[in-house]
Amino acid sequence: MQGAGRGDGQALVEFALVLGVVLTLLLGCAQLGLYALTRGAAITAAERGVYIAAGAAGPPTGPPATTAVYAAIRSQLQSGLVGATTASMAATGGSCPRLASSWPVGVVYVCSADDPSAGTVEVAVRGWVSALVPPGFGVGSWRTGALAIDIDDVVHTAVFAP
Amino acid sequence: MRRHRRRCGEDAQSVVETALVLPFLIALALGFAGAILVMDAATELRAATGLATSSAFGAPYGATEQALYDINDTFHRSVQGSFFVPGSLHITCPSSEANQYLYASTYQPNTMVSCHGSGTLSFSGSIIGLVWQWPVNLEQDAQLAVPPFRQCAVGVVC
Repeated sequence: MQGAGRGDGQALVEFALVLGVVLTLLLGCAQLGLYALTRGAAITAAERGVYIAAGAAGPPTGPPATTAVYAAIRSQLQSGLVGATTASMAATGGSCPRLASSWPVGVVYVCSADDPSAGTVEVAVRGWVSALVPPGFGVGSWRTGALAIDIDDVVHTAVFAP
Repeated sequence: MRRHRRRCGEDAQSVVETALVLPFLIALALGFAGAILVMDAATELRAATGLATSSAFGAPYGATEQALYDINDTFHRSVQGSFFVPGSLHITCPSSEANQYLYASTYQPNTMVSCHGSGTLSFSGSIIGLVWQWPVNLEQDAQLAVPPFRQCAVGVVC
């Protein structure tokens, strides 16, 4: 009777140990899949956004050509985000702000900027998405409970000879 | 005594079984993770190659050096994958592939510009490198139609 009880306890401990490892692996795989999906959506949206920004060249004195980018790619980006929302972010000093750890988790920002002197337009999709497991596999940048989405696409726009 | 020996035997067996199965599970998970990251990097490389190819039309026609600079600059600024080996990212738009827009002396409106982006992934700096021990070479092609009209660079006869 006592032996059977000890055996049951041992099995329980073994089960708990194995379950922890297996669950971590399963959740890690699921997390990576979701992360790849989100990154893929961000890459595609940023690519589309930078084409829009490059093609929507406004007059030199008019509004910047990049203002329409967020509205154009918002729905496409949102459909690929898992557990995160989108928001627009203004460029500062002619370029998009770098990803910072103070940014909230679950919001992915879209920023577009043009640099007339270099003849380039930039579209950045940056933010933190929630993580299911503590990400310590060296997969990109991370902080507690979050993984970074940091996509920055640049393209040279048409310049004209004098 | 016999029962105790049998019990020890079962314990050892379960330990051996766990030790055999667990590495397989971990290897499977790391292999899956590596495959996803390779696909992710391929997506990023494809986007960067396409954007870089479109930059060929940024400079006026005939400014070949400027166009090639724009292509290279766009490509390198649009790839951020942390697993790419530094210095392995390259883009070429060879004249052998009829890139008349870039290399011909007269304007060629009804042609294509074709560029190839490549890069090497290495997981040696992360735990995924336990399974993905070899570098992965990625290549992506992009082709874009030349715009029907483009200004010529100063000093270039179109």
